[in-house]
Amino acid sequence: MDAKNNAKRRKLKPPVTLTGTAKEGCIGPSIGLIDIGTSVNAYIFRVALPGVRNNESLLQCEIRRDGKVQIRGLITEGGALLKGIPTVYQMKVQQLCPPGQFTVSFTLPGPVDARLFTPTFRPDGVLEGVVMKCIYPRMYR
Amino acid sequence: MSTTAPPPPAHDPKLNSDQLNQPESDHLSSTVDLPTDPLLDSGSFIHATSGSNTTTTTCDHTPNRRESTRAQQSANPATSNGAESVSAPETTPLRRPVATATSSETPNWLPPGWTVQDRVRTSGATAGMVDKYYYHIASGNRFRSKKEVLYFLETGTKRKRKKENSDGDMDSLGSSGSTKQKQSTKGKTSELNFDYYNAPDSVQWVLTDPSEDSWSPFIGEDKVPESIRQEWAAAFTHLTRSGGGHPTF
Repeated sequence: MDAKNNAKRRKLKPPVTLTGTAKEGCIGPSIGLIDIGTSVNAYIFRVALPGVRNNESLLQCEIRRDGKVQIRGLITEGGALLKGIPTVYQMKVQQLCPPGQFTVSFTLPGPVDARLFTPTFRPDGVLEGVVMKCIYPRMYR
Repeated sequence: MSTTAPPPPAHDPKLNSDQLNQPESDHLSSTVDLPTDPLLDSGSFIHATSGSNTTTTTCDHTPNRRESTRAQQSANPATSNGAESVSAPETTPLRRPVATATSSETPNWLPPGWTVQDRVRTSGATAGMVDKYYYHIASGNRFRSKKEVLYFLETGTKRKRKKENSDGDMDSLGSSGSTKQKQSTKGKTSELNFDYYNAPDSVQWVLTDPSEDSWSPFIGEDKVPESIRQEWAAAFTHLTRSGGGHPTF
């Protein structure tokens, strides 16, 4: 049973390509960790986007009919913090993603209807999206 | 409640005696399918109220009576025993003053302007069961469940009932279920203008208002109009709420 489940899970795990800063910050809590779940007629995916600030991330998510998903955004400079002291801390980014543009691309297990998509960028830095499967894959092929 | 409770037990012994006599004669004379027995039972109940002598004499002429009741049954074939017992209190207004019992205290979810009545079923197989009835004073509408009331409060219209071809015992439940189905089909018709066939190749979803987590779809460079976006959302919620099957055309 477990072996079966593992095989299934492995099947669901698509190759993820990271470019830009997301590629460099791979030691710490990395950006672009994804999980995909399926239901009868929908997929759900969760993408970890730590360090992506809600208000200035310019987050966008492209859904293609063949199931390709591309998430683009901006990691902003988080180094300069003023904490009551007149000192500006300069962060040397070693573990986290350095600021800059990033993309996370992956492919869902099947074709989807890009219109039927409900994304949620949760405050904990996880982007969660539900996409309905394409109802008529035959039409698509 | 206490005033209405005594009468049914007074009738019941006679009923039982009739029941005992008639089915036996039925089975002796011919093989009769079982559902006719409850109808006989209710028919004899009506006669029993007028006088007990008539019932005892008519016991000899059970074949004739069975035919007459069968004629009644063919006139309205949909009524089973349960349906009759359930629908009887509401279809016969004459019984209403008799059956009305204590108006219980209104539950806290009910807004002012409503009254609640507990009514005890006086006849049928389910006699003695208590039904709650909700009356909207302003409109005079009567509702038989909290669900119906909430629907009325939400929409201002009464839920339409299906024709009585559902099981009598499932009457209240069945009606609500059927109306639910109706609603969902209604929803489907409103979403029929959603073109399930021609999904676009690519849609770009942009986080436009991060504080409210609102996303706007773009196709190419053009922003998708809000009306179409809402259509998509409606189709999405419809698909997710219907709990599985894609719409079949």
